[in-house]
Amino acid sequence: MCKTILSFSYEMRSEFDRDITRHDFRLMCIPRGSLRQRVLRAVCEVSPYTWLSEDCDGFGNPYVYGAAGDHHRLFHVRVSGQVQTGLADFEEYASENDGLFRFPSPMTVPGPKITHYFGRLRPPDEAGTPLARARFYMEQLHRDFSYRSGVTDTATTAEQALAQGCGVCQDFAHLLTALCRLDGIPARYAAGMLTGEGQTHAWTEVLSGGRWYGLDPTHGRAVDCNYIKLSHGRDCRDCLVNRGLYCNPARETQRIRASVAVLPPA
Amino acid sequence: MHDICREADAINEQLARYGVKFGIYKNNVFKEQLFPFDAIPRIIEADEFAYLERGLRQRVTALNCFLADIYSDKKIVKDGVIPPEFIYSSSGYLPQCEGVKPPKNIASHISGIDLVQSQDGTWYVLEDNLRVPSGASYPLIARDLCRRASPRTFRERRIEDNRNYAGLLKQVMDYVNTGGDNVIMTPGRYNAAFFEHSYLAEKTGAALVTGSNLFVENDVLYYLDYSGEKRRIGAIYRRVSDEYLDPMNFLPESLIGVPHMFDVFRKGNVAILNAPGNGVADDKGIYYFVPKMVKYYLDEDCITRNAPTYLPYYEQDRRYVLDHLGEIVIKDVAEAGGYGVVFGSKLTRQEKEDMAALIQSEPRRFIAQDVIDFIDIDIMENGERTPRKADLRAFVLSGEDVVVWKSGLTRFSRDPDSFIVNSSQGGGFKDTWVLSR
Repeated sequence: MCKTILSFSYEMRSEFDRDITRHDFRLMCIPRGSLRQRVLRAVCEVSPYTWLSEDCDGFGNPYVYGAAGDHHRLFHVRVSGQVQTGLADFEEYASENDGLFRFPSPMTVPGPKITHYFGRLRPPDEAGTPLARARFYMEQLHRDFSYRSGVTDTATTAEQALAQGCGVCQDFAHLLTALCRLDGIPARYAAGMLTGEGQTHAWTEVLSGGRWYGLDPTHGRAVDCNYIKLSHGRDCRDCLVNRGLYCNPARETQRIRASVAVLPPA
Repeated sequence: MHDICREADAINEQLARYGVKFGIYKNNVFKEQLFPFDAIPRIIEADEFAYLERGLRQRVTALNCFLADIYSDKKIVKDGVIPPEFIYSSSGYLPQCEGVKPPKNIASHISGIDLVQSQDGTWYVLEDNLRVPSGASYPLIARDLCRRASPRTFRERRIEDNRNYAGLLKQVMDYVNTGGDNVIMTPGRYNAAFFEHSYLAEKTGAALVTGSNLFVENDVLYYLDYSGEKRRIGAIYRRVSDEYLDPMNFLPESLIGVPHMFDVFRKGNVAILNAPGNGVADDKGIYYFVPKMVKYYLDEDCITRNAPTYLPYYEQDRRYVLDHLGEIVIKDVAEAGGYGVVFGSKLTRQEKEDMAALIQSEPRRFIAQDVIDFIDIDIMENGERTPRKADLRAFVLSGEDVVVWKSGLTRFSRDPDSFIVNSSQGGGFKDTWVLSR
């Protein structure tokens, strides 16, 4: 794996058709450091705000939160910086809290569809490492499940997504997570960004030999130096990139742009 | 005591005027009904209560050790005493609480332990309630009214005064308070226990607030008092369940919560009573392990007794449960308030088969218990004494010390054939007299 420096930015602009007040927000879009990636610089700009604070949640994910109390029609967030990736092809197993990722979570409970699908999958080497088996599930899923946006949303469970046969990266990640857990492999949901321009991305991490490995079922490949990780959790509900709540019934138009580019070596 | 029985109707009228009601949601309809008071008290002898006191203090101490351990090192899981799925598959386990240490490291400040006494006199714990157990205000106000109806009874008999409950509660709030006012947070007027919230606020001198009076600024929780002045909160006794507490950290659709309240708690800037995440310790599946917790954390034998309980999760227990389905009671671990309780003896053959299949496919979902034939206590019905099944909710307060309140809520089933005494199932209540010698 090659060490790479990525420059990134995550931008969210929310426009409201009338003034809103008492706007509370919580943002989980700051890259987290690990053996795989080192955060060289990260700057978070929020406007407007009356107060801001930061912390790490129960999974160790950094987040910024606060409120914008005064009237406003535009809310803007920009996180930017540089991350060195490719330092290793795995993440450390730090918390010893893998039990959390061994059992079904609300969005990944296997129903009849997933159980049936899992029953049909036969890893070529059943005694292989958890990583090898997870890779096999990823490849199968990449082949059998198709990418289509607009047919699922943040409330879609893995079971519902499989019934539909298509979805977005979140659904791919939920499904791979559910399959691995059925096989007894601790698996977690990861949210992050990928080189290029667009939305945030999601994939799955599996525990194998005391290390967490990232697998991206949407693209059918292992997570490499092109990925910046923001957070992980049991499923997408633990990794919501932004949450907001405000007074006044306003129509909100939200635009999100994530962009990641390889920085040429100095 | 006869005086009190004579005054029973008047006391019930007073209770109705004070708003001692119980609200029930059933099929999306809110129905409020009076919580009927029966004047014949439950009487517990001094030495018997001394035994309960020792047992309950030990039990709640161990449960608090468990909560501190579960959201940090999880030694009890690593040492193989409790299987990990009983923690992580529990709906009460909140990963948000990982690594968060509540002020003074106390998670369950107000614990409601439900007990029954069997025909042979043995007390059994049926359930631990460590989230927001309600009910202390009912015997509290009933005692107050009884004392007025018959002061003589309480002069002549050696009955422990139970009017110190509010004082004990205030001591606990003051002890964990991180600097600021004490408040009691209610979901509002339509909550089943609204009477209790307002009564306890009045008695403890805490401000009664709802989510809309509360807000967070710079990692401090504030409320607006009656004059519109902003005041800092040091301890919040919230009567809102975990999921609805903070839409930024828990259910995003909650309208009764306070955005960022949990972040303030995480920073150590407010005490939340009881701490979020306690549901992992009063889960019906975890109940089985409480005696093991006592041994593990305190290195003592458990004084209180659990009802004989079987976990279908263990194969040996599963076989027992399937073989004795007609004699036992089966409880769905995810349900509370008397819902999801099935008596095997009442099932038809088909229902039994369905239940057996369900237990086999989802063994973690159920616990099974031997049916305890618990004692009847007389109630007055149409001027005559008639026996009814009754349980006891004992209240244990954990602050600087762990104290068992010398009273409790005795609930009885109004239906002569029912064992289920929960107020949400339409039962009534009695005062509980603890004799001082």
